[in-house]
Amino acid sequence: MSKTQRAKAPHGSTAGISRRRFLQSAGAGVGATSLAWLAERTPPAVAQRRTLTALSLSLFVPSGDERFTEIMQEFGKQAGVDVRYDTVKVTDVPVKLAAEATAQAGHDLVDVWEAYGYLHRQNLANLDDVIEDVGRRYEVYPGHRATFQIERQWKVAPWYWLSFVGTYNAKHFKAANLPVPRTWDDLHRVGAELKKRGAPVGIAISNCTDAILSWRTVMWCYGAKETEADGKTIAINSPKTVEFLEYAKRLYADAMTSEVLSWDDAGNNRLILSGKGSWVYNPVSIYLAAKDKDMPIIQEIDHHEGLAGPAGRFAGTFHHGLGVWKFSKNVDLAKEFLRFFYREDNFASWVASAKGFCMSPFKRFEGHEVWKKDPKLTLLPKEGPYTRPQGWPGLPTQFIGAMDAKYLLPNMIAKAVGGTPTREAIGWMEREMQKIFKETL
Amino acid sequence: MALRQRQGEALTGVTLILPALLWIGLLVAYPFVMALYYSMSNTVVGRGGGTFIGLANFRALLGDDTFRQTLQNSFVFTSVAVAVKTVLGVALALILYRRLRFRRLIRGLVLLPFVIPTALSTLGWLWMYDSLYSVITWTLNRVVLGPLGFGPLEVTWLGSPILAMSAVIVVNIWRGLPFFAITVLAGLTAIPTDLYEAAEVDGAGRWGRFWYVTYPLLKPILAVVILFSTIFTFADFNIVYVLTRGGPQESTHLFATLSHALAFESMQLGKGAAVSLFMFPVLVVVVALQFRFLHREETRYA
Repeated sequence: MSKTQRAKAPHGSTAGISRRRFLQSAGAGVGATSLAWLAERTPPAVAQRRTLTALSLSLFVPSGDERFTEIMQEFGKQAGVDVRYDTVKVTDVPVKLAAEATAQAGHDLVDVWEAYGYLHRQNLANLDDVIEDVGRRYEVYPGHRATFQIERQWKVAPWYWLSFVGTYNAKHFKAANLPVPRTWDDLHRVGAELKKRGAPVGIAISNCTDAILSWRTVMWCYGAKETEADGKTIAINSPKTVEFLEYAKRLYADAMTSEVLSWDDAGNNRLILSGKGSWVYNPVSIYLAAKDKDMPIIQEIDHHEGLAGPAGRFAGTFHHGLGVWKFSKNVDLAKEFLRFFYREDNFASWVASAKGFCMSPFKRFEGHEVWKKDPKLTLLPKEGPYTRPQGWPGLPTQFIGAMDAKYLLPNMIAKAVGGTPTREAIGWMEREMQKIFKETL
Repeated sequence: MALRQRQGEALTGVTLILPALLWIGLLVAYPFVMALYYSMSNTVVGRGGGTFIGLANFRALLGDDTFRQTLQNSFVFTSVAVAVKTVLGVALALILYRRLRFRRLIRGLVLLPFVIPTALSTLGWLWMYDSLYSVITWTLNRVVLGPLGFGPLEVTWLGSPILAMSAVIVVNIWRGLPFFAITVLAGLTAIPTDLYEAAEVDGAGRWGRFWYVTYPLLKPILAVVILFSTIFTFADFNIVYVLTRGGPQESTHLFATLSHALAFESMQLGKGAAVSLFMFPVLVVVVALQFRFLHREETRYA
């Protein structure tokens, strides 16, 4: 087209077709295609094969995730469906659950732990038909029953729990000629001595889940509690709590260093693996990490059973389970998968793949090989009878979830060790709990 | 014919901006309206729709210790970070404006903190602030304190309220400084050099040239940069979420992190939305003040 012709041509023209015409034709084409698709209302045939999806946190032991994926794939082959297993950071799971519950769309199976089962109970399908049968065959531990049988219905299928034990560096204890502690008072005595030798003990006093779980365990061992058994009556302000908090202050001042105030969930792992620390309260991830990376410190790391207090021996844990969203399009398929997963060979193989980190929620698997092969892991299943759900003696309800989201317990301890008088720190937590209860009741 | 052509052009115009309007509507207007709705309800995630409760969430927040602490944290964090970024940003821009060897490479490297994804760079800082392996503590001990004969220092950078707040401010400054520097540098390059020559002829020294030539002409650019930086800094989330999760003892919680904790960890969607909306009037005031300042400057120089 010559310059003159372009000058005379309608605005925006190129040879043969104007921009306006192009837009009109393209718009008509897109509109027609969309209308045809909407009118048909069914997706093309190639998209009609079903997909079963599951969401979970990334397990500390990756082989556990790999084996779960394999089991899903085996199920998929048999059932003629596609499968997908998504794993995310532990802190992202509650956010994903909230997003899926609000959108009423997402995965079919979701990893649910402690209070999240109660929180999402209205959106979780009833799994009585699956779990009653499993329970008869394998016997579910009371902790899982208390956590996941909500309002007399199994809302979450038990999956695993984590065994928190005393993890210690035997070299430091031997050098100081100190015995392994059996009570929390013992820990204070040996910890004070070890700190003088440059090998402090550590329990996080910070915004992390290890802090909540560890200090809740100590609290129970001293007879203190956040609520009564009804889960609604606040019971934190008591002489037992004073005794517990005074113990926490002594332990921090005499046996720990200020670094515990900045720990995340891996802080205690780093303390032991660095060789500096002498004792922490943790599942066996530290030992397994050292074993996996063939670290020389593996020879020095060992475990001992949980500690007792004046009120007895208790152990906190996180009960994990698999929930099925009610709004999932594959509720029955998800239940079929759970039955497949709970087959003895499949479940036993998954327990083995987690290398002893994930404890079985069923008594039937207490004697699994994985905890017999390595002498440093044999004590793990024995913690089972001492575990209690978060919120004990009440249940892990939304109140506990809301309290833990604000890290009330670690913050109360942080205030106390930071100089706030004990009763003032307890009063603060009581007021915060009252606010939360008023809002969530 | 002319009328039809004009109508056709109008239709084309509307069609072309419609996608952008839809985009803004879906991703900005709709979430804002939903946040407004949730903030005035007692919606809890997992419990179905909540009921309208008016301003009860806002009243409850004003009486909440954690929220008041967060309010204080946000103002301290924003004012200190923006002030330091302004001063250092102008200084860095003046340095980059000089004729340096490898000027282009240096200008490119200066941009790196701003370009690297925030969560990724903050993870690096998490390691640098680690209580056991902090390279900052190690350097202080080996290079400064050790040679002076002082014992090794053990610092828990993220363990005390004051240190933790300082730590997150430092990371925010490190990350935001390039934005300031490069934008101010663009402003500097637009200043005609003959103004500096005229000032020199009039006997102005280095400081005089900065105060009477550079600064007045940079003011409009600075106003815009400070405005944007204030908005971004006030609404920061990543740095605090990765480094401290709002601790220790809520001393580093900002509006965004508290909103996240309430809405997605505590499942109190209504309250979480109310916290996030508290930022809105504050930022509207900041924007209004800045625009008023800009208008005044434009009128003065017109």
